[in-house]
Amino acid sequence: MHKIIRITIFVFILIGALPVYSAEFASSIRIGFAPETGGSMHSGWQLEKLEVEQGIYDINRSRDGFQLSTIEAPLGFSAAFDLRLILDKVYFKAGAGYNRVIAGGKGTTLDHSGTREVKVKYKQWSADFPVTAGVTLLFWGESRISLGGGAAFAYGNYSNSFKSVEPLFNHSASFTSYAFPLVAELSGEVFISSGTSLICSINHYYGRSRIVKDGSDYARVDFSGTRFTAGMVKYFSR
Amino acid sequence: MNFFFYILPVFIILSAPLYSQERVSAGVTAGYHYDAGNFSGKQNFDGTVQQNISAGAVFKLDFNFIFLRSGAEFSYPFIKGKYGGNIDTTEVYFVEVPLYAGLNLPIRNFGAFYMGAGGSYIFGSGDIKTSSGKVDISEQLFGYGFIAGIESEIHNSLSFIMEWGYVSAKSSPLAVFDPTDLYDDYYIDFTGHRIRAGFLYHFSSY
Repeated sequence: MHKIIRITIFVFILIGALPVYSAEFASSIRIGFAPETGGSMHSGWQLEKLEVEQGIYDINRSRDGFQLSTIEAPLGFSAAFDLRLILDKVYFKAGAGYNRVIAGGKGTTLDHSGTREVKVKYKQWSADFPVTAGVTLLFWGESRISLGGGAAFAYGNYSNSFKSVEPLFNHSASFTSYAFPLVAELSGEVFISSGTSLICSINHYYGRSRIVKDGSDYARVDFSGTRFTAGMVKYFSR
Repeated sequence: MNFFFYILPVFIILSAPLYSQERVSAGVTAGYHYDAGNFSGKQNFDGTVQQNISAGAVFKLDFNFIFLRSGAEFSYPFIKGKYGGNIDTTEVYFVEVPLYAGLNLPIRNFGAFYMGAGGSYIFGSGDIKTSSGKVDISEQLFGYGFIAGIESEIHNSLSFIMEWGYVSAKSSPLAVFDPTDLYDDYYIDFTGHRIRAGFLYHFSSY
């Protein structure tokens, strides 16, 4: 937490020291989606009781004679808001994002003996506050491409549940934690008026929390993943 | 997934007439997909990743600053994968039918940059050779993804294109990884990055 505060203060001092009179200020609001939200969704209980070593990546098992359904990688809904300061070809940005599983992440598999069905459900939500900087190129006042990176403070919850007729395989756990994932971003904008543009953005997060315990189970909250968002940008001084 | 599988293309196609000044383009690409099968993301991997090359057709509609991108691409394993354990080699072919929409960023005297999202329908075939025999692959999937690309005009009606794409798509289990297990747990993972380059012919321009 202290680290991100120090980085944020440093960025704002840096911004303040620059010739702000030539700057552009912009704010964007976007929504989109994130395939494979939550990473592997691995936890200690899955390893010990189901012999699943990589969570959702190897939870699926199939065998004739059982009513099974594939547990697909969760699809996340993403929303983001940010404020951006543009100084010629450089930008500094701070914002907030929200990501939540809206589809996938549930189904029915088998236990490690291959004889009992286990219903599985994975969920995750997270909120994050990225601070990034990078290069931005404006083409003829009509379009803009930006590429940058930074870090975020991310806070979220990952939960799982397993249900079976065999009581040994009934389990649920919830893990809440934070991390400071690295962020890389690429965005493209098209101006529809002098002060408004449409934007598409691809943001890649890379980072997991420390190990968190819930009873005898343990896991990390994984904030890694790629998010696509689209929305509008409003320029305040253009 | 069924909702998106059917609704996404309908939504994109129906929304197209909302925008004017369309440009119709078609072209061909050649591409590369490192680690087709996504072995390096799996545990117990102890072998060689599969590498695919691809050839495809591109169909692109530009409605001013909105674009629709489709086509078809055949991906061929020019280096077979060797996973290790019970999985000897994998030879996965697939046809990918992309369906993406996004923003087209015109760049005067150069061409355009575009980026968008959507997904790809994947029709996978080929086989997995295991210590106990050969398993045929016959999969139809939909995977979500993104694309970003550059169009560089080399003539009024012809552009060179370079494109990056990412798709997330995994099959259900098809083969046994550990021969002592009673169930299939090895799946084909079509997830990964694709790079393509080619030429795009513009049948009509703005």
